[in-house]
Amino acid sequence: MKINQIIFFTIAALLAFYQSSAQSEALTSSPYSLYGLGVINQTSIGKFNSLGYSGIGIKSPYELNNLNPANYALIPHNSFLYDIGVTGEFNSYSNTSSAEEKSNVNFSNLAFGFRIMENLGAGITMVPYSDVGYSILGVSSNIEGSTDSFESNVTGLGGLNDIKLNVGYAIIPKLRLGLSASFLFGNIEETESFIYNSSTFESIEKTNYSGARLGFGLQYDVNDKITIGSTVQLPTSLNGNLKRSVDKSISGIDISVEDESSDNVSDFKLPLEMGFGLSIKPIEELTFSADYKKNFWTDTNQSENIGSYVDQDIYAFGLEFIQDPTSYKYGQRLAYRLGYNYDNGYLAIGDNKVEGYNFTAGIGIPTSRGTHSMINLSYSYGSKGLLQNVLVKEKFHLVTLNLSLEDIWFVKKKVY
Amino acid sequence: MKVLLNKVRALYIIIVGGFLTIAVHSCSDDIYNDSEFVAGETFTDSNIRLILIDTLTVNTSTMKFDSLVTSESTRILTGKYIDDVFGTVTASSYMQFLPETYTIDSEAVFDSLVMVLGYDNYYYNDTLQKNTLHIKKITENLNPESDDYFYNTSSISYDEADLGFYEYTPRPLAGDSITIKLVDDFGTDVFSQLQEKNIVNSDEYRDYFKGIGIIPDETDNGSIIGFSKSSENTYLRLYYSTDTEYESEQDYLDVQINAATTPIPFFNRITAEDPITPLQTLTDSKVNIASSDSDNKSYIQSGVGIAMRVQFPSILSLYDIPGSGTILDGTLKIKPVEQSYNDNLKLRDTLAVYVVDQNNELTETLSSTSYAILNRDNQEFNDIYYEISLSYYLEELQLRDRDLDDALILLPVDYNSSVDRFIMSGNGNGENETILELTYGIYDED
Repeated sequence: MKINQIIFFTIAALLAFYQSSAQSEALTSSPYSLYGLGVINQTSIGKFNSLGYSGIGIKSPYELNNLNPANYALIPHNSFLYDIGVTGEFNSYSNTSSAEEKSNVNFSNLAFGFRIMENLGAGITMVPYSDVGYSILGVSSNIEGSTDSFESNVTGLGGLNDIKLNVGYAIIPKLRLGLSASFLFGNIEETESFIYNSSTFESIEKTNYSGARLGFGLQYDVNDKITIGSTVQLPTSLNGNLKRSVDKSISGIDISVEDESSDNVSDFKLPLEMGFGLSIKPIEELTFSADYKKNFWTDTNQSENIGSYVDQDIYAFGLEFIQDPTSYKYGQRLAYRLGYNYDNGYLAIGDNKVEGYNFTAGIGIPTSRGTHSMINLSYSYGSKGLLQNVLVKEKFHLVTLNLSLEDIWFVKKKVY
Repeated sequence: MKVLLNKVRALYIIIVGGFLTIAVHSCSDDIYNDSEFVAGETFTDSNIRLILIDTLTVNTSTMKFDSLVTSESTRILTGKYIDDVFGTVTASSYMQFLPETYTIDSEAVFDSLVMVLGYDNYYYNDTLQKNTLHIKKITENLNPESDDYFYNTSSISYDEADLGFYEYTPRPLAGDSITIKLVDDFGTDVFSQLQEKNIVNSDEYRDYFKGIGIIPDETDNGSIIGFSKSSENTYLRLYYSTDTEYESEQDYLDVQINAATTPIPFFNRITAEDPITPLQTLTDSKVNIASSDSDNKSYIQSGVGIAMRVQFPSILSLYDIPGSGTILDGTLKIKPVEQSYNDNLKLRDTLAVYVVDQNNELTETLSSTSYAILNRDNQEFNDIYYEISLSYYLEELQLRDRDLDDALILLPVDYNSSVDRFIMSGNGNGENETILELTYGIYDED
């Protein structure tokens, strides 16, 4: 029985990994993914997706919490937790003159965690760190030395993945410390093409990024009702490696100008990120959580051709209601969740920052009474950008399905 | 419990499998990134800079081929006109004839021998002037001197006495053909040789009648006319009559241009005497006169083999532009000199472009589809120019796939069958000078 489940899980995991590698060219279809490493993925794991992505201060023994590694110390004895997530996104973009809609489905995460020994838990998560998927047509540029211009199409594809090892240790039952080590890797492919007179031109620049990042977390139970937490992600820089292919056709003859030639590309710096979180249980059925994160982008001194990176503040709030997780009545074990997330953006274009917000709502459906497995369904509605000349306003509906499962290992199952 | 677990497991498989399928499906959806959405104007800039460069040095000059093969001319050219620049241009044509058959009824009586020349629509210069044709009998075997070809410079000896003489006002477009009566002495002789079976095959005929030359009069100053080489339009016709019981029945025998023998016993002799001084220095095909030494002009004359030569000596200076770049387009613009052309001395819509090496040996055509095309868009402002799309040639030069000493030459497409001439503005000719407009794309700035 156990072995079958392990086999099943392994196959599913392999498939998902295979998927995720294929999906590293995922399409967020957001024009904002043009900048930097793409749109930085907000979706988390499990129930936190419906809590406005808050959870630094949430104590969750039965669900993996990727927001704070300290929480891994809580994984119960003999439990093996895993989580598979899929997102479906429906986007609509508009600027002052036109609008467009898109949708896509993506792998969102794969994670598992287990207890190593008393007070010590660990886990590995794999989530997309960023997604690139844009297509911008008719970028008009002047031809220097003439009054003519040419119009090119710029498209981007790719994204980075984050494989993270989390370790949590409880020094005393009330105080848990965590350590995380991320390995970030992936590639972004940018293509620019145009037709000029009878010539065509296409350049494909594929940049491979890789790097590691360390993070720390802390959780402290003030009392039975209140837990506070804090996280730090150290700044790091991702090493970029560019391969460029340039092809053109002139006088009707196709010519390869450069074929996968390597070029230097400046490293991409990730900022110091600090987060503080709090969760309060005013009554047993209700959990309120609030997070504040600050990402110190200004210190990375990076800029894009339309703007620069500036410090980012993220506020997240969540509310969860479960009548009785151990009830014999199925309806009473359902979890209802709400959340809100506000992000003032890290990219400043002129005086405007590309800010965004999300409303989230979700439901957790227990699969059986014997385990703490849940099917977590979350819906998020958000908006990003401003409707001005330069910018694009993006609205999105995001549905996330997480299978947050618990397996009891090393316990001989009784057959009834 | 086991049953329940199995159910749950089945549920996982269905759900996971289902979503993975959707994910796979989404991956293979090609139109995902096929957006029609145009972001704000300055949402992003192109990563590629295009620069239009029109300051690259273009060296223009004039060269002259020692000779052009004219055995393969597509038409008979004959006529004479005096050109202010190129001198006295004379075209005369030499060819061999063979009869259709070698039998004439022994009862037949000779009537006349005429030459019919069918217009092929080509003409150059003033067709309102009278032209004169002398038909001459060739006296030596019509064989090339050294190799298998006759050239525009070839010559052959002929009888001073005219076989025929014809003065006419050419109507190359409206007219159909001209008919020239040849002298009866000659006609009778041909007739009797055939009738008496002294000549029964082509060898004997060619030995007897080596060919004829069609030569303009020394005093002509009119036009050069093209006549067809096809046997339907141009032929000698030997008329004879046979007396029958009641009446005299007329018949004829056609004698056609011999196009079957190798080497082809045909050529156009095309000469231009006493041109302007700079053109007189073109004594060898290796000589190039720079436009700066010939009034900032370059010259083209087909038939005679004068060609405009264009070279791009500083193309490698593209490497001085910082960053990595590549040639995206190149157009050469050449303006005909104003007043150098008119309704008689016409510009043609296309010129052929060939590649020559440093010794002016013709190596290839630029490409089967590349011509210099006359752009008449701004004709009312006297702004007309030939355009040549050169991107690939420039690419080859820049990458050193082609010798930097190579040059382009411009000649009319049918340069061995015409006498068109052109005068182009070379470099150094102020705002009319020949320029190269090159579009260079920089895709990496460092």
